[in-house]
Amino acid sequence: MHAKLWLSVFRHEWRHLLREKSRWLAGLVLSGLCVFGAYNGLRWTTFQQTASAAFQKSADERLAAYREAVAALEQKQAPDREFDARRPLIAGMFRVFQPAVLPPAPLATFAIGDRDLHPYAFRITMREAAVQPDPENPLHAATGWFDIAFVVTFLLPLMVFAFGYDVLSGEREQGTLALVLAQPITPFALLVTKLAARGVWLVGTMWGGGLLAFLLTERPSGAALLRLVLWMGLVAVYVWLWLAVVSIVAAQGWASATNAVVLSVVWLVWGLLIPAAGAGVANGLAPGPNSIELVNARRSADHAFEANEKELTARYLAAQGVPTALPAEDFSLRALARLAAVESEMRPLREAEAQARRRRHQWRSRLAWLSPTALMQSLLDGLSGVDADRWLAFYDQVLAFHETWRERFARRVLPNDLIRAEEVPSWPRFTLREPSLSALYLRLAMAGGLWLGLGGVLLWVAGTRVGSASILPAR
Amino acid sequence: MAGWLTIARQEFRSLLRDHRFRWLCSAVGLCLLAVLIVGWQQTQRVRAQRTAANAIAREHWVTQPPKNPHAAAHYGVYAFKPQTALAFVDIGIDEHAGVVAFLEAHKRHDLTGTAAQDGRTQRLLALTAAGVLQYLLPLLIIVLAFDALAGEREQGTLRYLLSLGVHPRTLLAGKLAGIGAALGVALLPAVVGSVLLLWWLEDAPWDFVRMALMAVSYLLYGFIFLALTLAASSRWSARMTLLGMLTFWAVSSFVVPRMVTDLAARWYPTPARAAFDAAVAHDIKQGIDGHNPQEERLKAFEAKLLAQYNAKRLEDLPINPAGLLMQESEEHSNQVYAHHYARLWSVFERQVTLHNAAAIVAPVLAVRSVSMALAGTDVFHHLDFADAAERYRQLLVKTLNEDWAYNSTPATGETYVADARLWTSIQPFTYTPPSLALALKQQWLALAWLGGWLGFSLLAISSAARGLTAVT
Repeated sequence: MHAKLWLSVFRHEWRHLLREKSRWLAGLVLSGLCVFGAYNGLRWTTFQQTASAAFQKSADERLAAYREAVAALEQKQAPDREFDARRPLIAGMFRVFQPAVLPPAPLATFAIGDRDLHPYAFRITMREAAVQPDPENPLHAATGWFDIAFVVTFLLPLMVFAFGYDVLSGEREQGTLALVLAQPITPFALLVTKLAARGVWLVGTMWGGGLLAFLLTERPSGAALLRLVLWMGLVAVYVWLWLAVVSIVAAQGWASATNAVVLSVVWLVWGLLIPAAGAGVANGLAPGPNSIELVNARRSADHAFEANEKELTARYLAAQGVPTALPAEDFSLRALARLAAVESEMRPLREAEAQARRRRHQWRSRLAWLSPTALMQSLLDGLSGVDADRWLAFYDQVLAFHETWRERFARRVLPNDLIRAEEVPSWPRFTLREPSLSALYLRLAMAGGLWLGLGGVLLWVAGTRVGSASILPAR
Repeated sequence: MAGWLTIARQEFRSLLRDHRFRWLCSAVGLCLLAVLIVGWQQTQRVRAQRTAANAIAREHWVTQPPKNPHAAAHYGVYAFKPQTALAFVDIGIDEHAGVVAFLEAHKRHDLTGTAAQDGRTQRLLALTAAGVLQYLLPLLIIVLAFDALAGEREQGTLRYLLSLGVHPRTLLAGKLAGIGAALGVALLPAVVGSVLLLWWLEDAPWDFVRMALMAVSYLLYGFIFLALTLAASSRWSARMTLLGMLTFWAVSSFVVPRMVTDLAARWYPTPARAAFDAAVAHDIKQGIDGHNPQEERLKAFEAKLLAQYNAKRLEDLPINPAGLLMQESEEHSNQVYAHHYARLWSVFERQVTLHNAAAIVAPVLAVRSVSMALAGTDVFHHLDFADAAERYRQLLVKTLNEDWAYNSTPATGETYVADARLWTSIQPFTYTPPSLALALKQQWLALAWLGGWLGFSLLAISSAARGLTAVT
């Protein structure tokens, strides 16, 4: 009997929604924004793929030109000179480089992420793994980009509020609430069924928009489809949570205008201010050396080496325990000793910086649990492969590759083991080993559980409140 | 005339007694004070660090050991972008723009070392005074004013007021003044605080002028929202006014700026790093647009040198040609960089213009641009610093190349070393930001739209006064 009544109210509410032009307009706008966001995502992933291919091509061309230069020297039987291209240090520092790029993941068109925080390309030489940032207007980096993740994370809650702020108060202000409650339906049941109809509408709209965006911008694959399904589930749970927030406010019996104000403030505080404060707290809890300190420290180390170059180079040679035929003034020898000395000085600072970065990331991840928008943003970024976790895994692999790349040349400097043309094609290339998604799946499950539970609690509180509050007369 | 003052006084007192006003304004006022203080501490720290970093960089430069000037040109100099005093009010783009310039021979490097690269930024709502004023202040105004007239109408008091002969224009002016004054009282501690903080931080009088102009621009911004809310409240029901203004606030503050970013990137795209570097390398080798390839150019320069000194071979020259050839090559690459960066800057400027043009639908874009320009934290200031650093780089390298050329010969060139006399003779890099007039000139479109919105809001409220009735 109760179930039939609930269903009847739901069906009535659903028909009412279908008849309202403004709801259709809102639905179209939301879907349209999803498609627009996805096209922005597609533009970015296409740009990234094209840029990465060009970067790889330039590295290959450079390597091919280097191989030809070495072959020419070998054919001419040219004597070994200080800046000979066959010298391992000259090759490793100045002549060749390896690109390391982070390719777009499945569902990458759904979230652009923080492009300036997580650069997708590195240029690896013997000296360093240098970031290769694209020239970008800093105003754009400061403003942020419009993608589906933005629509879901920040606009969808506003839409939920717009659909639900007057769910009971509207009926009361129109004078129809008393009539409805004259039926054998409790205020809580009425609240829940009305919100359920709106929830189904909104989730359906977002799923439709997301599916359309997927068909238009993504290459269907098993991995992409799985992520899409997870995305859809996450969106549904997110809508559930915000509807539960609406239910708590609606249950107070306030006027529609008051409900709208309260929900706006909730969105602002819970959705914007808390994440902003969280970022500040994370930065405060994990201070570390910044770029300026690193630059000056490196410079100081360089400067100190220059002041005592002869002595430090001799000390370096003695420490290696490897005899060398190179003269003491040889450029490669001095450069290698300098590199080693500077690296040795910089290592503690670099490690401190890396640890501070990770700690900041950990704190941000923890504090994100305090705000549904912060958590949702990180989960959506994770599903699209533009999150900090995937980037950090990429960065770790870049650093590890840089170590082996440097060593490949460094160990040949002292014995003056010249590079041969035939070995160049066999040099390793950077290949990304995609990190496991198990941590992401766990976070998704935990977030889903948290929001389902929290939403349930909020609904239960709304139920007790709406039962005891006098919701009929306007306040 | 006294009528609107009476209404204003009554509205003012009524608001101060309203617990909703006290709670909301206290929250926003405290938030503003807190972000001002935190921003001030941060700015103080950053300014001190960058000043010290520039001093250390200079110390490294002048104490480097004797070496060939060309080696010194590769050793180079670091320059750190100074932070303006008013960055504590509006950090602008500074957290996403590089602050470290490495100035060396042959290559113009981009500025590096953004706070973003250090992993320290928050994007959607930066907790700065500017962020609070641009995004929270309109919300506060809407919440306080949405039922100023609609509420009176729905309660029946509007009919009573109008029947007493109160002119609608008087009523609206009074409401505007009363609510505005109440908000002013709530924000006064933050205003006083910011003046004091600026005084502790910096004693440049122009910064106080800039701060005063910022206050005026935010006053106009607040007035626009207040006038529009009252105009809406005079025509619509309280609920519709609130919904309408909240939608306008959310869309104009959060949706439009991001949409404009993507449209600007789509219509005025910037090149990828590899493409940009490849184009520069091509033009350095082949000449700009394929004219005047490097080899030919240098051959022509050699011939010119030989003719100038009436010598048959480079080895016979009384000066070191390597230095002058290096400088000739440098000047060509400077032109190439200037050409490519001018194109890139022009793309950035068109993107910024689009943002300012979009202020037609989003007043926040206008006030944001003006605020950043006054604080010295906008794109124009950033590019100005980059160009100043590049001019210094060119001067530095030229001085070193010419020293090598004119103080050695072909025979002694390879063994020639310069010392601290040369290093110290080169003046340190100093940067003077653009003047206030120039900064504002760049934002003429944003200023125009701010004025446009002001005009529109005045029209709206004037029209609302004409159409004000006791029923909707």
